Amino acid sequence: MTASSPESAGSGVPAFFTGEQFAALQRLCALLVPGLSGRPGAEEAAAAEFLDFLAAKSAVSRGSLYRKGLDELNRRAKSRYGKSFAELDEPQTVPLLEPLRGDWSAAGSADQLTRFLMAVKEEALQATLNSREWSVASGRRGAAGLNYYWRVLE
Amino acid sequence: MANQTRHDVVIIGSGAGGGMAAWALTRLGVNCLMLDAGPMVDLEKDRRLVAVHDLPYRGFGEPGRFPHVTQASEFDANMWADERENPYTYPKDAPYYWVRMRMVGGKTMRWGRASWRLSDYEFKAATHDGFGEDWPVSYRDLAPFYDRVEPMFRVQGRNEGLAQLPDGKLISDESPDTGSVKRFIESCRRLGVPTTRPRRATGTLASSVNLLLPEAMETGKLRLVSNAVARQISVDTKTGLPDGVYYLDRRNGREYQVKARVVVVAASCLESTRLLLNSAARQHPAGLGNSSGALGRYLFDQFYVKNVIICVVPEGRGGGGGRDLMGGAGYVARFRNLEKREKGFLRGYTYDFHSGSSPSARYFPLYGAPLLEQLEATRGAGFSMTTMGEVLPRRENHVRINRELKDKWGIPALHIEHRYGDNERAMAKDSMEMAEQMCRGAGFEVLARHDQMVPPGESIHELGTCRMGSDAKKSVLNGFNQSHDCRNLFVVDGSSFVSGGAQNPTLTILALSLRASEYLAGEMKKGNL
Repeated sequence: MTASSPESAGSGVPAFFTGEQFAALQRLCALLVPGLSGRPGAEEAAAAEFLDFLAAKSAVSRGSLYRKGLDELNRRAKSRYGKSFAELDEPQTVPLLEPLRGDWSAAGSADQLTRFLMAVKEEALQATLNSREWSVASGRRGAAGLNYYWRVLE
Repeated sequence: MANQTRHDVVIIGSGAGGGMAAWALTRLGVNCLMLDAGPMVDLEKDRRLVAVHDLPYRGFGEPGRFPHVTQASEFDANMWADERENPYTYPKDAPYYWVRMRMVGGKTMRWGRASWRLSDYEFKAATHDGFGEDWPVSYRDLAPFYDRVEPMFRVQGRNEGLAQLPDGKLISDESPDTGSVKRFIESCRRLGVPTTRPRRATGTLASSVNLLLPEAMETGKLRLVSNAVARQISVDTKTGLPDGVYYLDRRNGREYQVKARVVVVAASCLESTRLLLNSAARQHPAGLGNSSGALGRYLFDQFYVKNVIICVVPEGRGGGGGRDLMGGAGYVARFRNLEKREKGFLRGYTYDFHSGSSPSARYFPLYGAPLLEQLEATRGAGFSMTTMGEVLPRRENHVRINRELKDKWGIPALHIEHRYGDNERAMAKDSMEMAEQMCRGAGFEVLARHDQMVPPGESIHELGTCRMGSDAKKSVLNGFNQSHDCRNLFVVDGSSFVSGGAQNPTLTILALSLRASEYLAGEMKKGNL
């Protein structure tokens, strides 16, 4: 007899970000990691919902980086287009995501928004590639990663 | 009163140093009791295959559980020492990443298996360039022990006849190089830089748990106690010599004591020094065996610049070239400051290199579909290098006991102060520039390069703090890993190193422990211990 994991049966309920922040995060994740060639993107993998959960469980620094970054995206969207980031057309998002076109540096950018966008780019991608949806679409249980899990040793 | 037995030797720790001590001593007829702070692992029952999406955190790991263990994944998180149970401190401006494992076998359960010999460029480094101290042993002293350890650990590699990377008793690696690796080696050759194959212990598991402890057990001379957290080495109040160990049951905190004629400490570099510092007694007010004041001093490791360069092999894009072009790995041996002082720093560095990796998304200034297309196009077409550099042993880099902080078992914790200096920074920068020359010379496309060292400790090659030496006023141990102050105290792990080169230290720990243990057994036989 086998049992499924909780995540496989239900939808994650956002608990950390405000409604406007979360809508921006969903839109951002979908832009950064779209579905491609029959493979799921961040939207199908519920990456934003997972990152909301991760931020809730993390130290203050991660949540703060995300909250400030999402607020800044919304602020710039409203200033430039008079609407929130989630409501923008894709071409309208291009200038706001320009920091992602900069070269990588080991020290990371001094600019807060750039640091946030770089973090979401990597984490949304990882949350997508490590998702059940990615495995299912690939047709292999281990497509997203299969390894030995070491149990608690006591 | 069965437990009042006085053992010949109590060995604290069951990793490379402790495991080898048990192997060598028991074969020579010495009765040993081994204490390890962690549990015994059953490889059949304690692990199972799991898909990453079935893990609670999708492979990200539980946030905050291991702020200093970058190596820990959500799969193997339960193997690493819990930082909340095993706290330590460091200055705010100098983070130290102390990476520990508490289980029978220690870090040999998870090590990278790289098995390089040190040379007299390390053992006699002070004679060579005037910095620090020479070891009290030379390569010639240790070579016969390397000769015996390599076959035990089934080390595979290729002998190159390099003075800075002595040849070994290896399983010869004769597999062909791929096209990208050949091009890289040729580029290095034009720059006068020596390369070789990786040199690694082979086998499904290459641990003291399968290679050392079973044979020691078969002698009937070894008793292994798991979940035994050593708190303090006890000292005979009359002689001032160690006479046993106080330890606690990891699971319930109950304290016990064992008596022994000789104590062999192999708890891992900093845990060994912590134990000695916590074992201060009337005759040893600054810590056991610390009349020199060197205990806790001269902490060093090997700095890493992880992925100092990330490249793409142009012909490998889109899966081009196949296995004839991509794949394979190797090692760049030290080439700086060998025959003459040639750069603005002392000593040198090495690299690991790998062909056939997939560059991370972070290196592409893209997002969305163009990023995903680039990731697909460069999958398996990557070439990367990681620098491993020698860190100078400096007195100011040290550990001491933090009396304000205790671990879960009430044992005072360590305060660790370790900063890299200008020598390491200059070396890291040079390694980045040389890596770029090597890769561009091979025709690779450079995606990113940097010279940012990982924080001290992260390489898990912490060394020193209980160093050997010929002068008892400047060192803790003699040339046989024996305390200058207490003839029946031996320390046989990385804490005994005087300097470390850039080579991974485990093979040298094994060789030193074998040599020290056979000396110890000989001294016992002569009645000197």
